[in-house]
Amino acid sequence: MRKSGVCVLFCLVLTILPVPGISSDVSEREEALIYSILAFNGRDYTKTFCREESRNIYLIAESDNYVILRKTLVYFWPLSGKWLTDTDILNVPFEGILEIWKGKKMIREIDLTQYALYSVEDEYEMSWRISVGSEAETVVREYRDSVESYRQALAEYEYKKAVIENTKREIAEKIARAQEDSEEAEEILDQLNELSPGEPPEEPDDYVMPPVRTVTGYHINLPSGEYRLRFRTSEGLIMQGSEKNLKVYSAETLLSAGFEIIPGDKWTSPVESNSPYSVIYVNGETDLYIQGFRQTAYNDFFHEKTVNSSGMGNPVLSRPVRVQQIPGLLLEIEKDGSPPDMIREQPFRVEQTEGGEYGYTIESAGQEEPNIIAFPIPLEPGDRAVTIRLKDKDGRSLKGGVRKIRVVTPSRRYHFLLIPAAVPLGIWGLVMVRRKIKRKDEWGLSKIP
Amino acid sequence: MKALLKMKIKETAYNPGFYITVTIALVLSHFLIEGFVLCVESSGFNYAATPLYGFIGRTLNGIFGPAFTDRVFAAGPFLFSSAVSFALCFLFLSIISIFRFCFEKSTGVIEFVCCGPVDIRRYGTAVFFRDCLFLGISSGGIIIYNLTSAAAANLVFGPGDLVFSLILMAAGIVFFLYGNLLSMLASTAASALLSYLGVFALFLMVLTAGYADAAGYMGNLFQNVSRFLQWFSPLFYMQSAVKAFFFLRPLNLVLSFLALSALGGGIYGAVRMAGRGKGRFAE
Amino acid sequence: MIIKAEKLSKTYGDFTAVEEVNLSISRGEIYGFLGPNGAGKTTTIQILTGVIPPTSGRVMLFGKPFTPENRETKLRFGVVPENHPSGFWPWLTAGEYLEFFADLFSVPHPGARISELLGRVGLEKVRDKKIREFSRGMLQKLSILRAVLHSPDILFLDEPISGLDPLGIKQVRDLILEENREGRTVLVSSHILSEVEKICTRGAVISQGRVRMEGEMSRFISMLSPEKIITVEADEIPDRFDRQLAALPFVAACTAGKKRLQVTLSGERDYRKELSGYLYGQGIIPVVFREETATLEDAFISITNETLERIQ
Repeated sequence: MRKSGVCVLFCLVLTILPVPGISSDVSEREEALIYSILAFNGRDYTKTFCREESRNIYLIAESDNYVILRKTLVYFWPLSGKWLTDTDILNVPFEGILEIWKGKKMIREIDLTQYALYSVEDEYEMSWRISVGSEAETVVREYRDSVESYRQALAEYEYKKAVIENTKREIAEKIARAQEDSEEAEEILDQLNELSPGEPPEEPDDYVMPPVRTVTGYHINLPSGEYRLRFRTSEGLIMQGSEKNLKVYSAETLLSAGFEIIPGDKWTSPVESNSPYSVIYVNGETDLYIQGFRQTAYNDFFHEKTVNSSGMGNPVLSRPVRVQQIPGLLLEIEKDGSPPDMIREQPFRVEQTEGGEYGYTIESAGQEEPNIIAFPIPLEPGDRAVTIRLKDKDGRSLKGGVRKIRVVTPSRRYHFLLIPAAVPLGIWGLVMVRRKIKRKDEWGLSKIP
Repeated sequence: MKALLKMKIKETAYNPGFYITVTIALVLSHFLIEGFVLCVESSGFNYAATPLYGFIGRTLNGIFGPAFTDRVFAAGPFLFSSAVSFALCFLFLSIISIFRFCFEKSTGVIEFVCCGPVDIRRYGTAVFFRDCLFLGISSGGIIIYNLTSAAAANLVFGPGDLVFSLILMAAGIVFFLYGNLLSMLASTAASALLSYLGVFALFLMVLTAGYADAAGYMGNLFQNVSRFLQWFSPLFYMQSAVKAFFFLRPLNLVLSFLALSALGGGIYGAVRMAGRGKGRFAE
Repeated sequence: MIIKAEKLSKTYGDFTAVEEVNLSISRGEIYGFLGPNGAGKTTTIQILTGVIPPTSGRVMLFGKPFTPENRETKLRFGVVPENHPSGFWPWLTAGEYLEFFADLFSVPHPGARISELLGRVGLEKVRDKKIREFSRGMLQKLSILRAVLHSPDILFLDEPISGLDPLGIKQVRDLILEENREGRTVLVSSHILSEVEKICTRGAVISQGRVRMEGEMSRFISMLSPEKIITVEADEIPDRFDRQLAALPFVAACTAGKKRLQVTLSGERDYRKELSGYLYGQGIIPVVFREETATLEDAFISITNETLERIQ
């Protein structure tokens, strides 16, 4: 048995040994055949790549994703702990057909497509779009045209402005000369005021991330399941090293509600509460501003692989992905058992504290442009428990939209909790005393003739 | 067997080691809970706020990933503090049990008792039930202590924490059976303990086999072996139960418990088979 | 027969611990089981009590085949092993120790029974003492009490008096005899032959795993030590009388002291009458005329050395 115990430990050591230590040095740039991937991550798009050594690609089901096979240089960057490509030095994309296999059957042959990725402003969050084929070309061309127009307009404006500056200088000289004659000076001033280059041209702001160019790739949109993909050249040959397993997965939990908590004293550092089981613990030193958003949850391991193929996720857990802030919500607040209150989102503005003091205050925005649109949760000394529930405009509760807020403050009296920790020792004492008494009782009884 | 069980219970009940271990577990729990409170800021829990939790958070992040760390502390400190306290009590009970069983085997104590109307299988069963009882007692103590701390510090000890404690207990019970089996098979306490720790570590490795895909270097062999071994691992069923609970799948939760029970039953059967025909232990 | 062993054998690999052992013990007997160290006594007892299974052969207890799974049969016998295990729950007191076994064997009114037994061997004052503080002798006594606690029909005692002082030996002997008087069958394995001689009526001698002899104790002695040694003491014994006696045909040997003669008579038949007649004829009036019986020790040594082959 001792030998078997040693054998088990030895085998364990053997399994650990092959683990490659992550070197702290930058690795050499090595030529590699990779798949560049534009992957949908639940909310927007992530650019990543699948290394030659990796056997699997992970994509979200029923979503548009794009891959391209290319030869490039790959190296490890220790500062970020990630593998990176150097396409500036070497970038050879391959054109051909991407085959998708399920089991022993080829289910799709995918040609190269042109697409353009961009995002626009939406009511609360950015909205990503992909245009494909001729639409992509149109969008890119239109954007380029708008940029070109803007540049022209800007150039004209700059010219006009320069001319006006020059004219102003001349007028100023005239004013200086005409200072003795106040009537002429006044006339000249009137002329000065009339001079204006006009309003500067507005930058094209239809896009948050504009469609600067079209890109080619293989469009993959599959239902969930396990597949294989491989690349076939135009000569009909399968490119060695191009075969990968393709794991397409669905969301583990469909849209549910999450909360963004903005503390009054750190409004630029909000935190999210994603799980319906989570409790929001705060120290009660400041008011809270709550926003509700929609979220989806994916398997943490798969999702991490989607956004970073050399990353590590937890295969047991799910990862929430914030999709969008939900407009028009109501929030029901229940404090320390008192009757619930229903409130709406309100606009707030952050005002810097005037004077030498460092800080800011958050106040109602009124007519001004708000910095925050959120539900206010004022916290007062003595508050202990608050329950909040998100409801839609019809008063229906949102799935996953309940949270408990607990105000927790450190206190010296917690040290008294060490006393009950010693209860087991007290129990042992009682047990030993009882043992002694029991022995005495039995001995006493047995002495009775 | 009732007499044996009573004696085994007394053996642990009269031993200060058990009470000291539970006390240490509760003290650890206290510091973890108090540490959590100290990490609560205006926007929520931030593990980087104190050195202790900073270390804990970074360690958990490194091993299991940020999603795991966030989930562990999402509802409060009790998942983590329960796991730490439980692990301490469980390790104490299991290691002492294995050591003592093998010691009694090698010094002829079991043989001595088996001169009477018992055999080694009944003896092993009594030891197992004793371990389960004290595991239950220590878990109960930890739960009560956590409830008290929650009330004092205005924390939430919710149904999730309770279910997690039950899952820990169920997995612990199956590990006790593994310890029982190895004690029955081993000739010395050292080899039994070594094998037990080896089995424990092996199942931990199997649990993390999913990460093997990360760089592809571990190869298919270990993954395939892990896929087979995971069915024998209490940690696998524990993981399934936790997942089922958090995804609100009560059927899966019940199935996980049933599967864990079935595994336990299988190991118990192996224990009984291992004990058959064992007579002369003191060589 | 209450205990019957039929062709019991036990082998460990190439080593044969016990070979073709046959024993028959009747109800109510005190049976002695003798042998040198390593003869196989303890192995035989362990097979009889179900601690280890035999390689071949069978054990019959109470007229029925016995296997270690027979829990009901195990309730009817008590065992005192050769060595009390050193690791046996040293934190228990003597009282708790006996209470456990009383519980295990479902002894009715255990408190009174325990007190009575402790009193019989003088351990009543150490009832609350932890057994880790017991001497070897005290542990041995306690072990014997444990074996008789549930009033078993059979007692298997492996070296029951080892480590005991003379008082302890007497107490244990009295206990065994009292238990036997109450109808218990006792199998005693020992190498303290004087004690075995005192209490056992029948016995067997085992050597190198085989039973060399079985039967009445007195038969062993008479069979194996046929010569009688007579001690004669008289007021006056002439010089060189020993040589005179030694010349007699029925005298094997003779040694003389001052007023004492030790005469070894030939074992062919009883020559005591001839001797006494000769002495009177020579005018010697014996004050003491005592037969020195050969001891079991002598028989034992004879049996277990190679000259036994002659007897068989």
